[in-house]
Amino acid sequence: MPAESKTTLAKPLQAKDFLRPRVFTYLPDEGLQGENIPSHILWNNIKVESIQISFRPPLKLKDVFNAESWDIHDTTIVINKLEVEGYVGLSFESSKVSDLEVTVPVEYLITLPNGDIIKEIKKVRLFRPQLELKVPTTSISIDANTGFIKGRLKAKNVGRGTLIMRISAAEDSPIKLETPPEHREFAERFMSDLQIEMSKLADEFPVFKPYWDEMLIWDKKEFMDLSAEERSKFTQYLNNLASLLAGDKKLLLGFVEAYAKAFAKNTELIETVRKIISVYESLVAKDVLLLNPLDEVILLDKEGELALEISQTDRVLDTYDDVKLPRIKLTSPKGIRVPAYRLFEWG
Amino acid sequence: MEKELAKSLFKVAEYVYKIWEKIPKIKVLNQEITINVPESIVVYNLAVSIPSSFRSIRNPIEISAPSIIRLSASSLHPFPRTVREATREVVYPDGHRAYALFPEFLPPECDLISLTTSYQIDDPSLLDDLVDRAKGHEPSGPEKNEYWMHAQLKHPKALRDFGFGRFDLNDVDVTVDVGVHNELKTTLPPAFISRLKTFFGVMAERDPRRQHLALPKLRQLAKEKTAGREFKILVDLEGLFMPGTFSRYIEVLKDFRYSDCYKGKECYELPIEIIPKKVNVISRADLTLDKPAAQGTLIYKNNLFIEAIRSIISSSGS
Repeated sequence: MPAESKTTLAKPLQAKDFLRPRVFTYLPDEGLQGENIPSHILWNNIKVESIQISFRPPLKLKDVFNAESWDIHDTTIVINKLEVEGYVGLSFESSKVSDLEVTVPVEYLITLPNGDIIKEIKKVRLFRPQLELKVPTTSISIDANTGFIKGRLKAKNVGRGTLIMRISAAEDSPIKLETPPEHREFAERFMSDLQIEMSKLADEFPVFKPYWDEMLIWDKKEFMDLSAEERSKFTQYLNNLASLLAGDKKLLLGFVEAYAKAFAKNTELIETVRKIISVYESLVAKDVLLLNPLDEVILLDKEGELALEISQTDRVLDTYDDVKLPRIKLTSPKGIRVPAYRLFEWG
Repeated sequence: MEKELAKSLFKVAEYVYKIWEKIPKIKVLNQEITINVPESIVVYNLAVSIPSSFRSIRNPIEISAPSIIRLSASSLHPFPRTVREATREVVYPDGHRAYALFPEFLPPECDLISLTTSYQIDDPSLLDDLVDRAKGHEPSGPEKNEYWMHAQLKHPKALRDFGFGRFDLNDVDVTVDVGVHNELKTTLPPAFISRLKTFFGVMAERDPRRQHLALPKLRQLAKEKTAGREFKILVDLEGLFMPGTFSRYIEVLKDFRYSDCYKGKECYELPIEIIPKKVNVISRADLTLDKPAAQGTLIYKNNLFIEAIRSIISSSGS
C-alpha cells in the first residue's frame, strides 16, 4: 500500500510578517584551515544599539564591513556604531593548526535599545589534510618482469581535504627522477602553441594582457618552491583571473578555446591516451593528487640508492613542511624504469 | 563720484543676487546605479527637476564616464517623451569626452527629466573594491559534496551617502572549483586504464629495433573484448565536462544561481588535462543596498556523476 501523501499548504504571508523583527546570522559550517571564512548579520524591523562578536583562534579578524565605530579586544569585536542599519559584514582569516579538525564557535550578541540581548552561536569546523608516511624497510626490490615491488613505502592522507604533493629525489640522492622524454616533449610543444594562442587573445582583449604576462612569470617558477608570501600573491592572482573570466563571457570562451586549439594542434591519438593515463595516475588515492605522476626512477644497474623528498600543499596552497625520507636501497635483476609513485602503497 | 558708482554697482549686484536666489534650482531627485557584472556594464540613472525658467543661462548637466556606450534622456512630466535633442557629446580641447544635457534645448514644458547612461567598466578590480567574496575550497556538508559561497558589500554607507536611491550589483560571480578527481579515481576501472597504458606503451615506442617487441602486446590488445572502444569511452568521458552536460550534476541553492562552468586548470600544472581534475563553476547572486549580503550552496551531485561515468563504461562493454 503506498504511503499516504500529505500536503501542507504554505500560509500566505500577512503584512505583520514583514514587520516582525528578524535577525539572521551567517557562518559557514565547515572550512579548510587557511581559507578565509566570511560571516554576516542581517536584521529587519529592529533598532540595534550595539553588537558584540566573540570568536577563537585559529580564526583571526580580517575585516569588518559597515561599522563606523568598532573595537577589538583579543578575540571580541564590539561594534558601537553602524554606518547603515540592518547589516554587518565580517571576514575572518583562518590558519593551520596541529589538530586535523577543530571546531570554532562564534558568538553574536545583539543589544537592543531597551537592553534586551539577542544571542546566537554558530560554529565552523576547520579541517586540513595530513600526510602519514611509514617506511617499513629501507630496501625495496623490483621484479623487472612482473613489475611487482616488494617493501613499498606507505603513504596515506589521514586528514580531510585534498593533499597535493610532489615526489622528488633529494639533491644528494645517487638515483634521480626523470620525466619520460615523450611526455616532456608534448608539454613543451603544447606550451609553445598555448603561448601563441594566448598572445592572440591578449591582443583581442587588452584587459587580459597583464594577466597573461603575469601567468608567464608564474609559469617559470616551480610552484612548490614558492614562499608563503608568493603563494598568497599567486592565490590572489588566480582569484583575479577567475573573476576576470567570470566577468566577460567572450573572454572566457576565448580563454577556453585557446587551450582547446593548443591541444588540438598537438592531438594525436596517442596524446589523448597519454592525458587520461596522466590524470588517472596523478590520483594516487582518495584526496591525494600527485603533481608529477609520470616522473620515473631510473635504475641503471642492478642496485642503487634513492633518497626521496616530498613537498606538499592543499587547496588554498598553504605551506607544509617538506618530508625527507631515509635512503632506500633499490634492487632489481636488471636496470629498470619505474614511476616514483609506484614505490608507495597508497592508503 | 567713484564712491557713488561703487555703491550703485553693489546695489545692482545685490538686486541680481536676490533675483538669482529666487530662481528655482535644478534638483537631483534620485540616482540609481545598476552594475551588470557579466557584461561589465554600469547603468546610471539620474532623475532631475529642471524648472522651465532661465533655461538659457542654466549649466548643462554633464555625465562623464570612461567608456559611455549610450545616453538617453526622457521627460517624465507633463507626459513621457524622449528629449534626445537636448543631449550633445562634448569634446574638450584636451580630448576629454563627455555627454551633456543642455536645459536650453529642452521643450519648455518638460521639467522632470530622466537621464540614463550605460558605460563599460574598464577595470575588472572595481568589483573587488565593492564586494567581499569568499568560497569553500573543499566540499563539506553531510555527504561532503557541498561548497559554500558568499558575497557581501564592503561599503554600503558610501553608496547610500552619495544619494543613490538604488544600488544594484547584478550577477556578482563566485567561481567554485569542484573537484572531480575522486569520482574518476573510484569509478574508472583499473583494467580500462591498464589497456590504455599498454596501448600507449606500444604506440610510444619509436625505436624501430624495439617496435617489433611490442607487436605481441598489440595482438593481445586486439583480442580484448572491448578493443577499439577505449577511444569512444574517452570521447564520451570528455563530453561529461561540457558545460551543458556538467551543469546537470550541479545544483545551486539560496541566494546564488548557476551561471556557467568550464574545465578547470590546476594552477600547479600545465598543460591542461583533457579530462580535468576539477571543473570551475560560476554562480551568481545580486547584491543591493537592501540585501547587502548573499550566501549560497553549490551541490555537486557526485553520485549522479559516478552513475554517468559507469554508464559510459558499461555501454561500451568495458
